[in-house]
Amino acid sequence: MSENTEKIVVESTRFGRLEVDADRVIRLLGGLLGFPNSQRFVMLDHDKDSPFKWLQSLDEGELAVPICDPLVFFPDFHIKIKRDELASLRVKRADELVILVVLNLRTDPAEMTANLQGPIIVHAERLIGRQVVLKESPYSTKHYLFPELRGNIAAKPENE
Amino acid sequence: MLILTRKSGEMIAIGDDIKIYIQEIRGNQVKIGIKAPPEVTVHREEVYLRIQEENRMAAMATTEQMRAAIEMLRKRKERREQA
Repeated sequence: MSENTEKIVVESTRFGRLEVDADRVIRLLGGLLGFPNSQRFVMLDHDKDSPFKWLQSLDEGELAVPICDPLVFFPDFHIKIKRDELASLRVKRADELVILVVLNLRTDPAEMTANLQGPIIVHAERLIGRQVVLKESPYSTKHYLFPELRGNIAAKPENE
Repeated sequence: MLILTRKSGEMIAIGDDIKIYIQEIRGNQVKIGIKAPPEVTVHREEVYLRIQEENRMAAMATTEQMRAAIEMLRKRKERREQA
């Protein structure tokens, strides 16, 4: 990291003052849906060993959403992304693509969900991405992260 | 807001790149064809609104909730390793 790397400074609500190297900035075309004024983000670790991250806006300090790799919770997760959407990010190969999902955290972990219908796709090297809206998809905006805590018959007990 | 009346089979152009075709009108349903360049995303309003709403709720997350989620995932991993 050279000393004259350009830095973006943001006063974040949760993490205080952040100085982010320009080469770590993730640009979301069209912004995070519902937040059109935020297009520049950075991914922050909460705990470096955890798959949970924060996607912190560099345009609005109070905006950060929890995200993670969907495969951690939903190993079968797969989506079809339109050629146009990939082309707008200049993604040519699947391994250039990083897929993240937004998490809805609650005080009760049994209520925590992942939005599998609006994943964020990012070009791994160019760090340009967008949140896609899956129309014809088996997924919804709410999938429980910890169904085993919900204590109903549908949740399979793990230790029996 | 601009309000136009169109018949089935007619079209509306927005700028040079976006075209909206009224393909079919049946009862209270309209079938609409939209032609737009790839950088313009077109959404059915309700899915789009649901995702916006989900993002707004996600943005209320606190660092305490994040810690609780991390802890829960760690416990789950331990349980699986023991099993």
